Amino acid sequence: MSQLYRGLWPQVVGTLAKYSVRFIDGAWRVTVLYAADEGLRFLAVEGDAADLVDKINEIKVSTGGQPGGTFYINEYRHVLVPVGDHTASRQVPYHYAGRYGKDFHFDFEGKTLTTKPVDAGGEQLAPGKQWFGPRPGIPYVLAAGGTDIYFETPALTDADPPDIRPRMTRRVQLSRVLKDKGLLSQAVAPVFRIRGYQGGRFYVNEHGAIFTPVGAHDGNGLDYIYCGEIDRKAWFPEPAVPF
Amino acid sequence: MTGFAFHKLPAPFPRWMGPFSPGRGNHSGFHVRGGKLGTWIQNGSGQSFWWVRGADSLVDCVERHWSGGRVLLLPNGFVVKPLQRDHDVGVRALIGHFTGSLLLKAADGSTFDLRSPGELKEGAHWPGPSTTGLECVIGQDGSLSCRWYHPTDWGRDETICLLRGPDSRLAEGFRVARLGENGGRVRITASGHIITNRRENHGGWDARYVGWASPESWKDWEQWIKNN
Repeated sequence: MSQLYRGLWPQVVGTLAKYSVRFIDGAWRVTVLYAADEGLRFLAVEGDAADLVDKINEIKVSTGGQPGGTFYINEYRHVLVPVGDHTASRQVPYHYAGRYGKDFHFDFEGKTLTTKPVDAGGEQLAPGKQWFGPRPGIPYVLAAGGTDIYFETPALTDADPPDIRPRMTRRVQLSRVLKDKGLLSQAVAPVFRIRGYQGGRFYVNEHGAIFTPVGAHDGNGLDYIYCGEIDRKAWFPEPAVPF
Repeated sequence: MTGFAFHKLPAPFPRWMGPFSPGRGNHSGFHVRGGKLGTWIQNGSGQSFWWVRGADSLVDCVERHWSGGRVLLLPNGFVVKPLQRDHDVGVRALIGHFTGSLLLKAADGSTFDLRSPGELKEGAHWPGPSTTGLECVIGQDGSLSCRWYHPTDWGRDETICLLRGPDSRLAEGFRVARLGENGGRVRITASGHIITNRRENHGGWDARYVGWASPESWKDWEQWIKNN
């Protein structure tokens, strides 16, 4: 029986910020929505991810849903599965589906895409460059003023297994977690260099890569800019998960 | 109506985890100041401090434990003290409850009864204190919801709660008080009278009367008392 996840639930993020399991060519596959030049395209993961797909579908079905649908992998490689009716007004719970250590690769017009911070040629991206690959990620916020990072997520009870505390949202601030100004500055710096004092939302993916949306240089929509990688010694601690 | 009476809880006081509004400046809300419980009322071009008659025991309690400071009188009668020392800032204590009248008196002898402010029509100028009470949001159906937070070791926990369901009378009162608007911020005063600030033509704000909610409206608030 799966349990509620004790860490950050991504909740309201764009359609490109999540993975999904879809039925393609007679099989359930891990897919991602990718913003190609000609529009949005679903890309299926290359290679075998059957163990992950099975686990996600098992959770979706055991909680009264249908197989397939959205999931996330965070920087701790925890797999998070939202279950239930997304259109209902009540909170959609996120279940923990285990740890997934493999990397995803996607084929796009004969080239291999990954969610690592690399460019079209596979070279490491420099901070400040436009993010190239698919961009599923977990949303964090650089606070206004640019001196703290926080996230917000529904509050859970301390019981084991946990339950949702109705009507309560928990804000967790990195400054309160680290209590060390040097480490905090270290954590904030890569995002601050792009977002500045205004702060704003950024994403961290399963590789610990940070990217953030900014106004596109041509004035149309948003560009996602690579900021750098999280320093795990200067970051939120890994949430407790069931064995 | 009998005079104001404060019924103190025994110390250590339990924590109050329920609806709460933060202070907005030094001259907002009820304060214990100079041996009196009172608040500021706008008169003419300035503000003056009006105090509650018969609140000596509440003043004693607040001065003994905290040497004065802000106090929140909730519409269900609870009296809440926000703590402000370095180690407990953001924590709120439930120190007791009040009953009876809320008669405010000014230095010049003028009085204002918060429980019986006179025959006020919806949308009328509110002649009493405009900064006391619980800040809420009124919906277009007249429902009242409140958002508040508590500090935690790692940040804060924020709660959003519907305090009172739809009420067409209050909805209409708000529309009259704030012409052209269907919902917005209101304050529920300690006596249950509900007011809102309206932007006037000269650019300033004026407190306007919205309506009244009976004390029976505030049910199950004991759920937010947390004993130490």
